[in-house]
Amino acid sequence: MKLRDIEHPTEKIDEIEYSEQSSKKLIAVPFAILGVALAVLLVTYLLTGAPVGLGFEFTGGVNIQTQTAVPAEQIEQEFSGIDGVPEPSNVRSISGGAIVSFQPLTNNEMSNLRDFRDANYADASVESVSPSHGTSLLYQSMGAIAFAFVLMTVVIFAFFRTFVPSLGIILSATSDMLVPIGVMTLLGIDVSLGTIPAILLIIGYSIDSDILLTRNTLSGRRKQFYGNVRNAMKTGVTMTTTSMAAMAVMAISAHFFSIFILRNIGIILFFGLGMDLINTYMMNVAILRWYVLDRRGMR
Amino acid sequence: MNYRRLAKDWRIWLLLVVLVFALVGLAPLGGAEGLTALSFGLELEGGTLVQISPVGTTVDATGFGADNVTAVEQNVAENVEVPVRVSRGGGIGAQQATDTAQVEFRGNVSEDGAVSAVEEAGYTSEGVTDGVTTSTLNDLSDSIQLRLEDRLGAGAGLSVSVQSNLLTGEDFIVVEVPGERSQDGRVVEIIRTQGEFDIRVVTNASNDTQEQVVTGDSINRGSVSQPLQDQGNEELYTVQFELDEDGSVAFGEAMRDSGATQNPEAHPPVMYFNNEEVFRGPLNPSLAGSIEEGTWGGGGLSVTGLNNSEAQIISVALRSGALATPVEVVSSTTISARQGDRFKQYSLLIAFLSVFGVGATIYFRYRDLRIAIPTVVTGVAEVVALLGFSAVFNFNVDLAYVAGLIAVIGTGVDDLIIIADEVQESGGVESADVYRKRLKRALIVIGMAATTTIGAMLPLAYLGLGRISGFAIVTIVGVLIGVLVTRPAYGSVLRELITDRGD
Repeated sequence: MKLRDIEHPTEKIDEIEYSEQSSKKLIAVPFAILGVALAVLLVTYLLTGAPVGLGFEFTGGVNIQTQTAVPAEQIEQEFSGIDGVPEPSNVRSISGGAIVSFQPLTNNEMSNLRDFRDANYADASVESVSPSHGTSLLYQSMGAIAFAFVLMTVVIFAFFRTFVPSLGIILSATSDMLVPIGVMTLLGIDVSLGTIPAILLIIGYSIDSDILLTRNTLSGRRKQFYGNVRNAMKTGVTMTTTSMAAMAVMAISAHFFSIFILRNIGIILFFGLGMDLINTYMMNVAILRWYVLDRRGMR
Repeated sequence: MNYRRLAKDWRIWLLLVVLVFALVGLAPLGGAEGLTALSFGLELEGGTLVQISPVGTTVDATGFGADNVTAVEQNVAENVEVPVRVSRGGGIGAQQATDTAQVEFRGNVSEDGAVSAVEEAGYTSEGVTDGVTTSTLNDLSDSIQLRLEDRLGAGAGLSVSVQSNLLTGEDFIVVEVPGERSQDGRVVEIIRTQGEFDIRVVTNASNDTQEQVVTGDSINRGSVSQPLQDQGNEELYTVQFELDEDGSVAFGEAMRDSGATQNPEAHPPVMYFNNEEVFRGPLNPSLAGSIEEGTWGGGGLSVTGLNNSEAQIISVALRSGALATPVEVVSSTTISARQGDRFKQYSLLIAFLSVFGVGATIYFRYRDLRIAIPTVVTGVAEVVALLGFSAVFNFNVDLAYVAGLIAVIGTGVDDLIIIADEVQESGGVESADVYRKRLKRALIVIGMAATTTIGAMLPLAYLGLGRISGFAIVTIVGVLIGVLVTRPAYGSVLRELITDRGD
């Protein structure tokens, strides 16, 4: 039953008669969503000093994931009373255990905490990152994203050698990357090291439907513009919804198994791909229509 | 379906060859544990990973005039609180035509502080970097390896490696200890805390009463030699080391007071590492004589007449008494074997569910098993090829890898959909020519998308951001296998299925 639901967007978007839609309307929706996402990031920035919540890998700190049926309240109590260790900054319940977080600890505090873990929660995982290393990882991650963005821009311009359609693709990919970050902020999921590759992969994932659409409309006959769009869309929507199905399955099952790196990658790619549907078949179609038809004085 | 034409198609053969290689690579040959030759990373196997950063500052300096290395070390060390080491190209102490050397501050000194310490000593600074020299880094790495092997056993499967970040220039020592031990916390403690080395002397031979002479603190850092083979007898080894000034005085006094200088055989010095005896042997008569007469100048000592393994142990014990520089634990991760095992099963299940989700979506879209089945089979072939590649090149499978694998299945199926749609476009395909044209068009789009994906992933793979670089590498390799091997083969299979249909 669920899988049928996933197919719905295909049918709905298929019904859009593009020749009747004004470009303004087509472009307004994706920009409105992007605007909301940017507003979320801006508000978060004003409130917390960072546009997104950062995971402990970037801020520094200690995370312990327990693997027991012990209720979170009891875990909080036990971890609050360890000799020579400050109280945890946060304890939250997850399926099959709990996550206990600490602010960065000194070597001795860390050693006490490890002793406690060895004695009482030997199945728990312990991860610790020093604040300076976290900052370094954050800058490297930002560098990786910036570098990837530049590489993508170069590749796209090299392939199409036309300014406006290439710009459209890059605009779409940028929006595809920003919107899921906004969604994560709304859901209260921190950006962690594990989410960086997902953000980068949105570039690779979202670009193929854009490329398909742009190539079909630019190389096809002008008279058949809408037909070309329809063909590209039939394929592109199938592709994107298939990937979204895979990512939804991954995110939901990983959530129940408490494997958060897989869950977060799934969430980011799911929303990134969803945004890509909107960007590609509304914004990019409008841009390409202007470029292929209006610009040359034909409608 | 024209099997004969398919059998002549190089694309099919390429895919088969790749798959055979992958399966051979995956086969648990040569004593590999488990069902396959795949090796799993920390997150799925359990174990401890510690990333350590040496604390130090290095100044490239010049203008030494007639000062030799020792003089430079002393002159600079007067201006700071931490030990100073000077190394010149061509070996320590070598008088070089080029008057430059690296002045290394082994401890927490700011870059400005290091430069001014060099300049106050009357030398010229040519540049300063945060961190220690490569040789110190390798030395640290060796010491940590020895220290851990001594405490955990050489069979613990631990690995110690030096990793440099290409972007920031930071150097790290990365320690990985797989599997679970009774106290995981020990690994970090062993690295952080020094082993306890001390030398004692037997004061009363009849009941083996001993007295402490010096501790590891008195051994000069960096003076301990590797086991040295004796020139006369190749089965015997020597280890040399130096005591500092106070240590030498204490050693001399203890030898005289205990009677070791009069009767070396009855009062041998005994070496302990972490309170375990590692060596016991009498003073050499000539050394005993010179200590007795007060002519021993102190400093260098050698432990002789050892077999190879004894020499290794003593060298370990003497060296791991202290690390060359202080170290900072920048990150540490411990995963219990039980959690690793759970995650292994779960991530396999998640990957399986995701593939199932993809297959189901494809079926609902086309309602045609002739497309759905080859698509899923090709997707599985890509996974097998990728796993085989990972087994052959010893990639560790971890969670980021699994995520990358699922992502590769996703992009792979996307591309198969492009191929299927392009070649089916506007009805049937009568001639192979039309088919080839359409396939080519599809492959161009796929090639563009693949190039972009690889471009996006390259920075991550290049930077090696710890655990997540696995994701980038898997994605890149997966995309390459897909574009070069599996997708062209899929096109060929589809051609036979579609051109035969005659609609």
